Amino acid sequence: MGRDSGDLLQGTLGLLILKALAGEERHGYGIVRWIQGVTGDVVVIEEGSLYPALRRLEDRGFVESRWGLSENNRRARFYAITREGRQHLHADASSWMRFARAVMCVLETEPSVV
Amino acid sequence: MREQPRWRRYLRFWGPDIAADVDDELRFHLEMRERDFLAAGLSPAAAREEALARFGDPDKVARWLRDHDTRKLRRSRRAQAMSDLLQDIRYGLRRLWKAPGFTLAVVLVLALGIGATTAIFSVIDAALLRPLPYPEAGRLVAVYGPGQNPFSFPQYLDWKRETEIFADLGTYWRTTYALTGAGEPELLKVGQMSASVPRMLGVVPRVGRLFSPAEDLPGSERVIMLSEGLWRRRFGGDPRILGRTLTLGEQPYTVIGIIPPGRRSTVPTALAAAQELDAWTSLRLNEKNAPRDLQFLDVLGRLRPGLGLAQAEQRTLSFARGLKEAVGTDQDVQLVPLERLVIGNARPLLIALAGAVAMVLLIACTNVANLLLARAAVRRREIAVRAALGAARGRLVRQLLVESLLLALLGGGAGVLVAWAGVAGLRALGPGSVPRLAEATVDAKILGFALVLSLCTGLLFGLLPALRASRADLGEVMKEGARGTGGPARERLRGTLIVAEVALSFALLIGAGLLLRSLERLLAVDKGFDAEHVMTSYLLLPFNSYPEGHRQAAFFREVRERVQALPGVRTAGLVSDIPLGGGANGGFAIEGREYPRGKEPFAEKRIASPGYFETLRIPVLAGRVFSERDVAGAPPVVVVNQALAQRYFPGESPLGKHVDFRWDTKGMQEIVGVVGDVREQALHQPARPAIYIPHAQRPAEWAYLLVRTTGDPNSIVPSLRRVVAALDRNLPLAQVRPLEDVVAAGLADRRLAMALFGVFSVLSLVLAALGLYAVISYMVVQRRQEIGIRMALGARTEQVVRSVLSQGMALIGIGVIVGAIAALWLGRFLAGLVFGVGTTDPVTFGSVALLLATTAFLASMIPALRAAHVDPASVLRSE
Repeated sequence: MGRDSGDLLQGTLGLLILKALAGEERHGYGIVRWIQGVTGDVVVIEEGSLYPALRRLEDRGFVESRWGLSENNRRARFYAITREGRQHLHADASSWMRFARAVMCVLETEPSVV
Repeated sequence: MREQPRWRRYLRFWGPDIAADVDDELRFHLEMRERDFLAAGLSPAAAREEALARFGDPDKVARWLRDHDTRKLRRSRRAQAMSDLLQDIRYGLRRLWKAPGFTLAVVLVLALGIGATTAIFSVIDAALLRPLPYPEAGRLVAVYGPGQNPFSFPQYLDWKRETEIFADLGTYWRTTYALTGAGEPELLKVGQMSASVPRMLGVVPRVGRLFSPAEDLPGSERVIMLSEGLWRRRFGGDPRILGRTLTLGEQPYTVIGIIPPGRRSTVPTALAAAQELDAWTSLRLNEKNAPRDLQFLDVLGRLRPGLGLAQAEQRTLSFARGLKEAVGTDQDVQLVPLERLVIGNARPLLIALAGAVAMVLLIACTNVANLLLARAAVRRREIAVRAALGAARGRLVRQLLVESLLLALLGGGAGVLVAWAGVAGLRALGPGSVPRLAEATVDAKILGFALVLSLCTGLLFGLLPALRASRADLGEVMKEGARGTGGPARERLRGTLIVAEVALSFALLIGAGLLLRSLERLLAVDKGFDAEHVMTSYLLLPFNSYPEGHRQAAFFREVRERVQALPGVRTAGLVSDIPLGGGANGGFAIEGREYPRGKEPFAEKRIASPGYFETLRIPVLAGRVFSERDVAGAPPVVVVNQALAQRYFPGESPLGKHVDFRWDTKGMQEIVGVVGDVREQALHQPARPAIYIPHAQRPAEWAYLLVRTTGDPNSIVPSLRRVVAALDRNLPLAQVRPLEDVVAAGLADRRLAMALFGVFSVLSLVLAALGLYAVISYMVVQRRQEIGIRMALGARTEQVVRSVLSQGMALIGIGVIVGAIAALWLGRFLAGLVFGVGTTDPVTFGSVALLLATTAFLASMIPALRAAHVDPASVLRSE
């Protein structure tokens, strides 16, 4: 999708989306806003790429969508995580954390580079 | 992203509007983002710009989403349809399984209808639709000489010189030769042909080679190709047969090849069915042994590539004109495409059969439709409830149609078995007039035909009941309550179906009746002779051993005298051609009369011996027949038949008049007797004028030996063979068969047509009777309450019976009238098959109407009697 988002590792967007939906169902913009809120605007995603990512998650059965009314009474498409989505999130998040911890260990060895 | 007009939302009524949804979703995102930036204090322009920058390219994203969603929707719709269909099939199968009686009845009816149709189709396919098994068969033509006659050899040579019409031209004729030397002498059916004939027919020898063009010439070595059948039968399939010398007609022939069995090894003839030959020999003709006045050759040509028939015919005209100037006589020829020649006279029979079998199928469909309607009536409640619970009407129709198609496919599957058996049976019967019957098989094409036919049948009988049933209205059904009647429209539909069935059945029965009457008339025809207890056989003397006429005459007299003396023989006689098989004919002369050219008296010509007329019991009407004194040197005599006497000597006695037989005769012969007419050509062809000449006065090298026996004619055969072998042990006794078989063979085609029509019409009658029975029974059940009340009010049994019967008989009446009109119109297609009756024969129409009415009466009587046993008390209680 568009410019390769160098900010995010491959597959991480899906993980973030699932995490964003883990608490409640949201529309696309709601997902973006949640991610930005949580990360304090550190993680910037190309917002257009969100929607193909949502479709792929939907095709794999991790999320489902429905049309509803937004907080300002506009017609909006809401996404919710499925049971399979939660299982996937759990597995994916665990392996991601292991990987992140490993990277941390490497980076924290002397001499410090930070 | 363009703004979508509001009306597009209404498209969602039929399904998701993907483009609008995608646009809505993305626009919502951008607008929310823009609003947040505005709230954060950006100017409107900057807010929009920043929102777009964060988003990327909205058009590109939208395009991707639209493509994705469209593909997904299509996939899911397909999956849905598939699963619905599977569900319908499962549901349908379960329902059929639960009603085994109904299912079995329908499958049986359909199997008969589809099976019969498929069997007839495979015969028609073999005869009419499949191309002939020759290379580029479309360009092959049979060439006839002037007046549809065969060619003479010089005439053939004239046309062989022509180059603008034919790419290849060949000639052949059929003859018989005695094969002698090894074992029993045997008379072979031999085709003598130019080298071009096998080439045109695309024959590839099994072993050995074909004739070379040099072998067409008279001086060449005598060569022969054997049929595979003869090779195996006579020579045990000896692989060293090539190069061996066989004696045929006392001449040595060298074997050069074996003709492969099957379709290509037959030579097409004017006969509908090409007859398998025992052997082929090369032509070896010249203008001396085959002069211009001897017309006996069949000619086969291959048109030049790209030359149409009409064009070719044009060119033959101009070439014939040129020939006429050079040779003198009429030279017009006629081109007949080989395909048309082979189909011959079978077309009317096949068309009639196709029509008959289509009617059987229609009746089967009608019957099944009726059964489905009855069943749908029972299911009305179920369907109405399902409709009320929200099942779409389309879905209900589809559900019912799926059930019909399942039935049709089951019926079709069973029908293929019926067709397979039917084709095998037809081939076993093997009537001569259906061309290429042996090629008829149930192959992939036929199976495809059966499948398509089954599906069409399923739609035909299933659609109407399905549409009708799905219209059920819950309120109405519930109001009808326990009675569950169908309403007047349903009654009318079922009545119409019964009328259609009766009408179709009537038309078929008329066809069968007309054919039966024709056969009866043919059997009653006065053949002019008595075939019972008569044995026929054929003798052909080789020219080398019996070169002179007096030796031929002496041999045949000896045979006749010895056979005559055998115990168990009443009389014996000889003749040049037996009745019903055709034979020599031509012009003759009457003393003192002049006829213009082309208008000469014409007669069948037979060479007969003393004893011939007695043996066949042909009555002598005036004068005498031949005696032992009518020998060479005695005054030349002839006998004529009654037809000749009436035609050429009306009002006077032909006795004592002189005529010339004009077939190797010198001078005139005196008419000494008049005999009864004999059907010489075929049973259905009236006798033509005929002249008989004594064998002793006009010898021939061949003769049929006719023997009237005291007992079973077959028992005399060994004695006959001994007599012939004692006189000449190299002489085969051929074509040994009772004369009654000859008579029966002439009726085989009509018997087959009659048998098929008979089977089809009986089938249709049974189906119609069953349909009627079902409908009347159903009506009785529906009228139970009314009948009960009537009886409670004092109606008598016979009044009830009469009222039910009248319903059935009214339907029959209309059906018979419609059927009669249809039969009057359809009769024209049988015109070529009937004999001795008109296609509007009132006797046939009357008896068929009576038969149908009786059957219908019986079919309605059972339910009517049951109605009379309705117990009023129980009916009234059940309300």
